[in-house]
Amino acid sequence: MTTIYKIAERNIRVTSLHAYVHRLCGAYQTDETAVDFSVSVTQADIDFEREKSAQEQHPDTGLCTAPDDYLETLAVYRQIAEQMPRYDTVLIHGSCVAVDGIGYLFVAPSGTGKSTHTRLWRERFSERAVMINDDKPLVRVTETGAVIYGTPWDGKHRLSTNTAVPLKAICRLERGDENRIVPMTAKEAYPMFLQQAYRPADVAATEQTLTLIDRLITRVGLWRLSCNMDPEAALVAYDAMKG
Amino acid sequence: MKLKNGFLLKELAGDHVVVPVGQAALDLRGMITLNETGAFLWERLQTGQTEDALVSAMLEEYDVAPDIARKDVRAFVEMLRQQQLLED
Repeated sequence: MTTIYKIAERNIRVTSLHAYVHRLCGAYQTDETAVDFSVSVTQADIDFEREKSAQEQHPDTGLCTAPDDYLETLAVYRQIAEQMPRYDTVLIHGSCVAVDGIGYLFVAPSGTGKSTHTRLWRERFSERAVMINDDKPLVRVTETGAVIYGTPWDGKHRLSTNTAVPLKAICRLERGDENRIVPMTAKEAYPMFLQQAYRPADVAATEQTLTLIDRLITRVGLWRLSCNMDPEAALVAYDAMKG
Repeated sequence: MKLKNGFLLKELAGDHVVVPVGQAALDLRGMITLNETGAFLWERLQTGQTEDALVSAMLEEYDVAPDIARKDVRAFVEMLRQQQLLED
């Protein structure tokens, strides 16, 4: 099964063993036929994802019971993320919401409450807010800033939009009793990016990823938010980050 | 002595950061931050070096007494050995 999708401005030919990845990517299908690159999944790629998921999510049992067609979606995105650095684009694990067409990205380890926080933004700003991607957006670093893209890999609540917005600021999110946001320096920020950005297997792609992170942290606002789940948290964060 | 393959030394926000790549990334997920001298020695150790060669390089680059340079080189190499970053 082969279809061409346009993701983060690149035309990507995706060849899979199962149908599910094509349902996932449906909204990103393009009629254009000139492709930037192709990805193709084998059973070995799927088995690799199963092993990796078992290690990361079930270290106690070492077992992963996810079906092959789901694991294949991970294999496809891994291959895409591996190619993207050459287009000045990196995958960053985080939840991104746009207000009035400007993107704000929240980054934290899984389970911290990124999705909960961006839900507060949607409730606070209603139709002014658009969910760009709730889990794995792509960020393209430009000469003057960054652009963030919706992708089909958008987390368990399936929240994303096939669109692109300028990325104004990135915020590290922590749980706290009170809502408080402070600026973060590039030095404080980069370890988080090393953890939450996709780290390619390829050496040249890793080198380019690090170059892009170094540029990114000088071109967007960097913040650290300590927050609870009150609706006020969204306003505290927005007031600071919108500049 | 020589560094194992599979590490990139890059400057991030002005810091010298060592990041594992490829196979090495499976064994070490984190990163190593080096000071300027550490980065200087790391770059040299990407090709084979003797302790004397590293000390000479230090003396050429920095305004430092020979015994201090040797002590620094030994401490740095010892750290690398403990972290299993050197080829045997």
